[in-house]
Amino acid sequence: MAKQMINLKIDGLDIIVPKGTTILEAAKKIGVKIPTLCHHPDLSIEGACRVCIVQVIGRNDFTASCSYPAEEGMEVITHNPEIRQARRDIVELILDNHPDDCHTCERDHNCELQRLAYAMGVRHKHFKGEKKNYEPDFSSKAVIRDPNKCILCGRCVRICKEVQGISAIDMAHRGFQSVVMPAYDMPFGDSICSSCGQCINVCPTAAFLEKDYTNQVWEALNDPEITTVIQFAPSVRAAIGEGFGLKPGHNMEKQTITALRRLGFDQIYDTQFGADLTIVEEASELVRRIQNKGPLPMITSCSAAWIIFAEKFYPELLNNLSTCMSPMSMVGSVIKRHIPKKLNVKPEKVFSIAAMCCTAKKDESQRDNYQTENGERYVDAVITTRELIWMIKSAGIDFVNLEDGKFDSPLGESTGAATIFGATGGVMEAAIRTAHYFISGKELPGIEFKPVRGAIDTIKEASVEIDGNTYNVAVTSGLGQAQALLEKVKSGEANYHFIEIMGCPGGCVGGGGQPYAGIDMVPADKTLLKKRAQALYSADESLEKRCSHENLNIKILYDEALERYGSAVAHEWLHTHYSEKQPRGICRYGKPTQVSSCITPDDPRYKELREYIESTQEKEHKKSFLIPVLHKTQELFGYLSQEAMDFISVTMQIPTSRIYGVATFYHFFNLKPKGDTRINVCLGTACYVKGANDIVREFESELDLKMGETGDDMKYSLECTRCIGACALAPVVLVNDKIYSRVTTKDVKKILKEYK
Amino acid sequence: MNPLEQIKIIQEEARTRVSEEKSSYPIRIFVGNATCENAAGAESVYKELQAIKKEEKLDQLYIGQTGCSGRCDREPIVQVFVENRIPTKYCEMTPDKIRKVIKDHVQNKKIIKEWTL
Amino acid sequence: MKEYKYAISICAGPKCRNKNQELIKTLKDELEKAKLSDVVKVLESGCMGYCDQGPIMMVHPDNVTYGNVKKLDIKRIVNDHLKNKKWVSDLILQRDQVANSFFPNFGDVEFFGKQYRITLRNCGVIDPEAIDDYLALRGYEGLAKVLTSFSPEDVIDEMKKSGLRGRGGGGYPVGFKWQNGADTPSEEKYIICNADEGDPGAFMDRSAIEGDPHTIIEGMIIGGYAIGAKKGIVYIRAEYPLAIKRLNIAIAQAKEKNLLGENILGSNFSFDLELRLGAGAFVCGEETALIASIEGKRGMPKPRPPFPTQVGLFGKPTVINNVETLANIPVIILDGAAHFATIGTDKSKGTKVFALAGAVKNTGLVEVPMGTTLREIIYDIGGGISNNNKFKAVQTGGPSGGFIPEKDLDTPIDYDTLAKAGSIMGSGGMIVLDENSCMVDIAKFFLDFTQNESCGKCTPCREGTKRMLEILIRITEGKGQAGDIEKLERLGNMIKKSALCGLGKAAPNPVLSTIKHFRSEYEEHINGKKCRAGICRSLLSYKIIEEKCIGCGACKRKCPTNCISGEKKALHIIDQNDCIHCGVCFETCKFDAIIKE
Repeated sequence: MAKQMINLKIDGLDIIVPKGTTILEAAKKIGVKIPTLCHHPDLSIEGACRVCIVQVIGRNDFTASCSYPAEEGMEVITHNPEIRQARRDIVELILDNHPDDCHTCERDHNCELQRLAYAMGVRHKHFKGEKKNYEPDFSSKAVIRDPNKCILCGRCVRICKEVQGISAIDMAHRGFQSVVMPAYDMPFGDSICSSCGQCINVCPTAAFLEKDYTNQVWEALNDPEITTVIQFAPSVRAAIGEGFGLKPGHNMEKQTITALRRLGFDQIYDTQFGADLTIVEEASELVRRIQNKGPLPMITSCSAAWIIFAEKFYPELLNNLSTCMSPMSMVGSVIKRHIPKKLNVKPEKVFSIAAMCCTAKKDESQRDNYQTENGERYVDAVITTRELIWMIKSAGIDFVNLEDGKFDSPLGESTGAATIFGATGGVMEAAIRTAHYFISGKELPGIEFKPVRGAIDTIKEASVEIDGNTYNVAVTSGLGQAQALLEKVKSGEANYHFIEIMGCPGGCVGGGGQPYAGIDMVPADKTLLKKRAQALYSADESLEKRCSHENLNIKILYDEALERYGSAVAHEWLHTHYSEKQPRGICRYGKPTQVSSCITPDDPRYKELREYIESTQEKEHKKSFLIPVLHKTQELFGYLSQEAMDFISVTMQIPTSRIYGVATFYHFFNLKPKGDTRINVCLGTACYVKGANDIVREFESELDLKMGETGDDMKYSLECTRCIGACALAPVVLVNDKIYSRVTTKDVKKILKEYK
Repeated sequence: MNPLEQIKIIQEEARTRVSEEKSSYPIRIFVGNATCENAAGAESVYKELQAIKKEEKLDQLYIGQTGCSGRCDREPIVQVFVENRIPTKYCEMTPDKIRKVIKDHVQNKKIIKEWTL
Repeated sequence: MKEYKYAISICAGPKCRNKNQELIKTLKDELEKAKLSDVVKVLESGCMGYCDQGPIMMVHPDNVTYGNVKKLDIKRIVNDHLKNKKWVSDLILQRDQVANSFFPNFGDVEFFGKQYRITLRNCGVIDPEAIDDYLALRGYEGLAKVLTSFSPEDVIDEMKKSGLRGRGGGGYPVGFKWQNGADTPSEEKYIICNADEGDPGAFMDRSAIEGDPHTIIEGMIIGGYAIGAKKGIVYIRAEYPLAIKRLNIAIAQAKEKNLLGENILGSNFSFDLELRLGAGAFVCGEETALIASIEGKRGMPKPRPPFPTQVGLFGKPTVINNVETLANIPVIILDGAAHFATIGTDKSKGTKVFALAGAVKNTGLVEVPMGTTLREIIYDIGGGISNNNKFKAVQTGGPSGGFIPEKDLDTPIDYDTLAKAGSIMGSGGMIVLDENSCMVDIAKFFLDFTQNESCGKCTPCREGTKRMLEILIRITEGKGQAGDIEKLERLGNMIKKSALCGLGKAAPNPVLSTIKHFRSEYEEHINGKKCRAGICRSLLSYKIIEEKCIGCGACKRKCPTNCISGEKKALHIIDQNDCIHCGVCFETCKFDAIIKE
C-alpha cells in the first residue's frame, strides 16, 4: 500500500512529503535549512534546544520543527523577525551559561555553538548572569569531560545509550543544575566507559575531548637522544584530509608520511604492516581452533574499546577472544624488540608513537602487559587524528600540497587486506582471504568478500566455503549491535566460527579520534563513514598485493625473529591475555546472569530490599519499578547510598548512571543521610504570603544551618517543601511527622525546645 | 443478575449496616480526619472523645470520622448529631472544648453558639 | 450567630438571578408572616442546574428540592414544610441528586450557600475509610449502570454531552480525550489519575482523595471501560501519605466487593488499579513527564505529537485525567449528562473546586458552579479581606497563572474568561492578596518555584527563567536598572512561545501578569527604590521615632552591624549607611518605636 502523502507549504513554497516526515526534514527537501543544535538524524528526537522553532500558522506558540510531523494543509513560516529574535535569544541564553574562552578552546573554528551564534546574530549579550562552575574531569586516560562547556543537548547521552548500549553517562540533577555525568559524578576513568570516544564525535562543543598526549610527542621530537618512531592507522589516512579542508574520502597516506618526516620523526612505519601481521597470526589461530574444535566462535580483539567492554561485561567470552594484540600494539612490540638492533640504538632511547583514529587506544597502550620484560612500553604515546592535524598545523606545514612520501622499512609494507582494516568488515574480509589460503592452499576466488561489508546499525552474517566445509561468520560495529550479536551467540541461536566486533559504528573510520564534522556535515554521519571507508576499499582495489600472507617483509620478520606463525616467540611478542574487570554497575542491556551472582551485603535491610526488588521483577515492565524501589530503599536506609544504588543496578539490571540520574532528579530522594530531627518548612504560596520566609530565617539562625543542610552532629536537618497541602493553616512546619500549623517566628524556639 | 441489580442489593446491605452501626445511635459525633484537620489537632480531639465515652460510659454515643469538608481555617471541625435536634457543626475544637460540648450540648441540650459555625 | 433550623437556597445563577428576585421577596414576606424569619435563612445560591424545571428551591437540611416553584407555592412551602414538617410532595423534583447529598450536614450556611458540591459531595459527610458509607449514598451505582446498559461509545457520548472539561488546568474536553484514547487500536491501554497536585497552594485533590477515595476509583473504572483500558494507575505525590493510605484501603475494599478486579459485578469487564508514587517533581504533573516518571525515568517531558492518547505509557494509548475530573464521572452517569450541562456557562460546564487562601477571612475549599464571579467567591463565600484590609489582586492557577486586579473582579469564572483576563483556571488555586503583598516579590516567589522545579531539558525554561529570576531578585534588592522590565517582557514572551512543555510556557505568566497590571510597582522598585507594601527588605528604611523611644537599648544590642547608636534612656538613631535592612530591630522593639517605610 502506498504511503500516504501530505501537502504543505513552507515559506510559501508548496511541497509534498510522505506521512511521518517532520517539518525539519520536509524543509530540507526544498533547500530550507532550519538551524538545529540538539538534533541528530541517527539519534532519538530530543526537542530540547528549541533552536529549530518555526511558526505554524494557526498555532499560538512556536513549534519545534525537528519533532513535529507535517500535517495536511499546514503552513509553516521558518523565519520572520519574531522567530529570528527568539532563536537569537535562545542561543544567547546558551552562551550566557558558557565559558567566554573561545580563542583558547580546542574547538575554536570547529564548534557548532560558535557557528550558530554567528548565524543567529548574537553580537551583544543582554541576559548575563550566573554561570555554571564545574571541575573538568581528567581522570580517564582517553576522554576528558568539561561540563562547563556542555550545552545539555543530550547527544552524548543518547549515543552512549542508544548506539553503544552502555549508558556510562546520563543527565543528573535538574533545572539549572542539570549536568551530564557518570554515576555519582565518579571520576570518568572509574566508570563503565569503554573510551570509544563517540561522545567526542557527536558533541557540538568541547564538553568532551580526547586526552592530549602531544606534549610528550613534542618533547620526544625535541630530544636529540631519543629516536622517535611513529606509525599511523589506515583510518587516519582516510580522514586526515578533512582537517585541512578536503572533502571526506581522500586517502592522504603519502602526504601524511611527508608531514611526519617534516615534523622530525626518525622512523615512519605503517600500522597496516601490523594489520597484515595480525591477520597471519589470527588466521593461523583460527585454523588451529577449527582443528581443535574450540574455543569457537573466535572473536577479533583489535578494537580497544571492545576489549575494555568485554573484560567488564562479557568475562565469560574472554576465552573466545583471539589472543592476538591489535595491529598497533604488534607494531609497537616489534618496534621495541626488533627495531633497536636494526637502528643501532638502545631500546630505552626509542619513543614509540601511534597516530590513531581511536581514543581507546590510549587506554590500550597503558595496559599492564603491553610492555617488554624491561618495562619498555610497546607504544609510549597514542595521539588521535585530531591531535596529529593540530601538530602539523602548528608546525606550519602546508599539508595539502606536500609531495608524496614513503614509509620506512622494514615495517612499512602492507597489502590491500591491511588497508581495509579501517572499515567495518575489513578485518573479517582480510582474515577470510588468508584463512582460505591457509586451509586450502588456494586464493579466495575474487579476493573480495563483500557480504561482510557495511555492518552499521546491523549485523552482517555470511558463510564461506573453504575446501568443502562451510564456515559461518558475523560482523558488526558499535557496542550496541555487538551486544545483540553476543546474546545471539550465548543463546545458542547462532553457530558462528568467527566474529568481528568493532567498538565504533562504521569501524575504525568512525573512531573517537577522527576529525570533527565540518560545516554542513552531520557528526558521526553514516555517509561520512561510508566515504572514508570507500577511500580504503579503493586503495585495496588499486594494490597488487591484496592478501596479508603476501607481505614480503612479514616473511622476513618471521625468518629473522618470529620463526613461524603461532610460535612461542610470536606468542611472547604479539599475543596477550585478558582478565575480568569489576565494573561499577551494569551497562544498558544488562546481564541477567549477574543478578543471581550478585552478592547481597550482610546488612539485613539489603535482604528485605532484595525481596522487594524480586517481587517487582516478576511483573511486566519491570524496569519501571525503579522509583518505587528507590522509595523502598530510602524507607529502609533513610537515604540512598552509592552502595545501595550499585546493588539496585545489578539486581534490577539498570545502569548506575540512569539510577543516579533519577535519584538526583526527584527532590524527595536524599543522597546524604539526614539528621535525627528533620525540620521541613512549607514554602507553598499560602504559607509564603503568611510569612514563611521569616520562619525559615528564624530556623536558620537558631540552628546555625542554611536551608537544605544537615548539621555535622547529624542532629538537625533543615529543608523546605513546596506545599504540604494544609494551606488554610499557613504557615505550616513539619517536624519529622508532626505538623505545626499557624506558626509564627516566636513559635520557632518553642518548637525546637520539644526536640532538644 | 445484571450489575445494576447487584449494586442495588449491595447498596441496600450497606445502608442497613450503616444504619445499624451508626444511625441507630441517638448521639453521633464525627471528627474531621484529614491532613489539614490533623495539622490543626483533630487527632487529639478524637482521642479525648474516646476517653470521655469510656469515662462517662456514654453507650449511646457513636464516634466516627469524616474527611475534610473544606472549611479549612476553622478546623478541627466536629459534627454533632443528636436525635430530634438540628445537626450542629463545632469549629476550632480542642480536647478541652470538646469536653464542654459533651457536657453542654449533648447532656444539657445547650448549644454553645460561639463555637458553632 | 443565629441558630437556623432551616436554610432555603434559591437559584441566583446568571440565568435566573433577575427572575427570582420576586420569589425571594415573597419568600421573605411569608417567613415574616409565619414568624420564621429568625430560624430560616434565605440563601441565594449559584446555579443548581435543572434549569428547565426552574425556579428551583432547595430546603436544607432536609435535602429536598422543589421545582417549578411559583409565587403561589411559597405559602405552602413555608406553612406545610417549614412550619409543620410536611413536604410539599407535588413540587418535589423526582431526581435523587447525588451531588447534593452533602447538605445533610447543616450549619455554616454562609460559606456553603453559594457552593454546589459535586466533586466534594461526600467530603465531610462520609467516613472515607468505610466503603459502606460510600455505597449507602449510591456509590458504584454509576459503574453498575454503565456495565449494565452502556456501551463504551455510549459512555463517551455521555461525556461529550456533559461538556466536562479537564480539571487539571488544561480544560481539554474529557469526551474528546476519551474518544482519542478509544480510537487508537491496542490491546494494552492505560488510564491514569493525575494526583500529583504540585501547585503550591492547591490542596483540592488531596482533600478529595482523603475525603472520598471511592469516587475516584469509580470514575477510573468507568473511564477504563470507555476507552478499553484494563489497567489504571493513580500517580500520587509522595508528600500525601494519608491520601495514599486511604486510597490503598479503598482499593482493597473495592476488590473485596468485586467492584474492582476480575469480572466486575459479574460482567466481563476486568480492571485493575495500582498506585505509583511521585517523588517531589512538580513537572511530573505534565502528562508526558508523568508517563516518564511511571516508566522509571527522569520526569522530562517529550515533544507532542505524538500525544499520550496515541503513544503513552510504555508506548500504549493512555488517557490521563485529573482527580477532580474523575470525581465528576459517577455523578454525570447517575444524574445524566443533560443535567450536568445545565450547570455552569456555555463553554465551561459543571463546577470547579477552588482552594481559597491568602488574605481572606474564610479560607478553605470552595466548589462553585462555573460562572460564579470572583467577587462572589472572595467576598460572599470568603467573607471579604481579612483584617478588613484593602484588596489588591487575586492569583489564580498557581505558578502558571496570573493576577486579576480589582477592576476585573466581576469576571464570571470559566476557562475562557479567565484566560482572557490574563490568567488561567489552572488546577484551582486562588490566593487573595491585600495591600501588604508586594507584587514584584510574589512574582519572584512564583518564578523561584518554577525555576526550582524546571526539569532542565529545554533552553528557554532552564536558562530563560533563571535570567528572569536574577533580574527580579536584583529589582527586589534595590539594584533594578532601566530596561529591566523590557528585558523581563522580552524573555517572558519568548519563553511562552518556545518552551517545550506547559510548565515552561506558563512560567513567565505571573511576571508578565504583574507587569501588565502593576507596572507602577515595578517602576517604583527600580526607579524609586521603594517597596510600597513594605516587603522587600532592601528597599525599606527603618527609623526610630523620637516620641516612642525610651532608650532601652534592646535594638542596639541586637543589631548585627552595630549601626544603632544612643545613650541609655536617650533617643537611639539608626545609621542608614550601615543598615542592612535585616529588620531585627523592628522585631525586637517592644515599644513600637521603630517604623519601616
